[in-house]
Amino acid sequence: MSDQGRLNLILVVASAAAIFAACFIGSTPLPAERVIAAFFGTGISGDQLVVWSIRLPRALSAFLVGAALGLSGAALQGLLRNPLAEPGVLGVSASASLAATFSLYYGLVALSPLILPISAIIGALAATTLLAVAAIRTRSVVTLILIGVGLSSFAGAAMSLLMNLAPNPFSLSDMINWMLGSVANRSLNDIALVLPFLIAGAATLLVTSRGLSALTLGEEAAAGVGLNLRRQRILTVLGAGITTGASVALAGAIGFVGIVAPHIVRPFVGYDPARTLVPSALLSGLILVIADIGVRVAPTTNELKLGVVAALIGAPAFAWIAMQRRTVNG
Amino acid sequence: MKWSAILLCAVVLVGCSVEHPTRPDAALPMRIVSLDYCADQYVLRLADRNQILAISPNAVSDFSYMRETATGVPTVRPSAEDVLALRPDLVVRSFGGGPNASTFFERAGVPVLQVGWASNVDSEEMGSIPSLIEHMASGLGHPDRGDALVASFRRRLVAVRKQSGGENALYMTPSGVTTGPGSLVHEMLVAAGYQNFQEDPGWRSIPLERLAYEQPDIVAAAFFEAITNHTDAWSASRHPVARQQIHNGNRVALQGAWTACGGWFIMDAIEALADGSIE
Repeated sequence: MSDQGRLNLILVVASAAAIFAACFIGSTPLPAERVIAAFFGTGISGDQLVVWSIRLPRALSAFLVGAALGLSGAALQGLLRNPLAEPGVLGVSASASLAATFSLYYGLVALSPLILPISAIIGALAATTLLAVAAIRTRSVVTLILIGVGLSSFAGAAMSLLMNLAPNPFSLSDMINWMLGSVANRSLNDIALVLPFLIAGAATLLVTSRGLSALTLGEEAAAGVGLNLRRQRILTVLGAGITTGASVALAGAIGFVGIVAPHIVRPFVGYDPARTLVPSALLSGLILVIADIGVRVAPTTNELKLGVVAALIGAPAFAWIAMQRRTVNG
Repeated sequence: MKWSAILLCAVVLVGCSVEHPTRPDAALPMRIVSLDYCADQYVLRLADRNQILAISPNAVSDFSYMRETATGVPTVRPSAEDVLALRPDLVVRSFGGGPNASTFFERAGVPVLQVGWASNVDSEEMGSIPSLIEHMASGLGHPDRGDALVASFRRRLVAVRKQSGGENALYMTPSGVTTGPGSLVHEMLVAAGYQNFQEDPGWRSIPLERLAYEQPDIVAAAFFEAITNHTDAWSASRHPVARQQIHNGNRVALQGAWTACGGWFIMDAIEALADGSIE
């Protein structure tokens, strides 16, 4: 088995184990044997409801959201040839979250439940498109990150405006969740709503991943070996936008996850962007499932928001990676 | 100069009247400004229309019990500047104007009538609704109306046909919040003869996992009618496990206005719960 195959296998097994472990944690103290019985469909109906309808959907949501962000992060990093690119940092998640809140706030969601993921995806696509256009115009990595910071601040400001106008504390707490990110109380229905989008976005990114490897040679050389640059850009932007948007529709804006995993994975896959995608997705999913377990076992009165914990882990990693770059480039 | 003299007189008179609840009619506050919808309820119910200068903009909202009476009454935002410009002789508030509002208005020479915190339906302890009504009625210059309202409140409370079979009730809002012992909502459930399904004290999220095992006899569903209140996208009350418990024909709908504030109108909620009139 190749190194990459072995890495992927380890990550799949670890992710499955983490998701299974997450089923043991909840507000009702359930002995391990009852959880296991319920998991395999033999427990009493209450146990089965708790495990299959409450705990497993939550863990699965954390995994799917992490995987989506890790995949988008790795793909954006390949496309922009910049290890600091990530949906959260570039303002893609914040834009998606803004669009989702907007559609909720103005009651558009009442028309159809599908409006929610679609608006989040439109928000994410608007941001990724803007970034891709900017990436063509400017060669500077710093400029690109700054544009992302600008986008992120704009989405944050617009969100604050909506919060300012919030009609009551209930709407306000909802908006805060959209900004901080959480997988609390997610059900299989919520997953089913966004899953088709997640699959479509992920498939787009995976199918076009070979082009990302060609891009490491530089754009001219990549074009020289037959890469259609325009098509590559459009598809990566489209794939990352759809995947990130769908993940935001499921859990709100969770930042920095997409930056840690690709960074850890890269040395194991020979720094090949195409081969980074799958292990990055798996590792990000694993990290979020573990972080969500942490959120629930932490002895705090109010449950911590998953996005807050993710940022506490991810933001220092972002700073560290940025500093590493500085030493390399002088 | 003339105005400040009048203001001073008013202050002195109102100041005296706090100590002597049976004030002479001449000292009735005639320029009342109310700063929030909780204060509005008492002002609209107990004061005469010609005593009221302005109420809060939320007095006509869905969650305001006296919204019909409030129609047409001038409103003012609870900013110090706007309120002072009206030259009130009494400011009534519970939370309006922020935590420093009472000190501020008193320093500006305007007496403040504070709506107390309601913590129980009718007991000897502090914070009972009758004591709140009496306090407000005397502050507004109509202790007799307060007595009448308290009498009718107590009559209705005695007449409530309490549930007596040990039934339990879960209070639930669209944002998935419920409350255990130590809140007026808990006291409301008890007054209607129920045990609170949520036994842990304080405001908290509904016990989603417990709902997988046990069904409350009734779900006291508050605020679900309010249009401004879109269901929180992370609310436990939209989880299929919780929804199954609400839609099983055990839901008693409580209007947001009955419980949004502590007042005599909580009796409407108590009666609805005691009847157990399932939707």
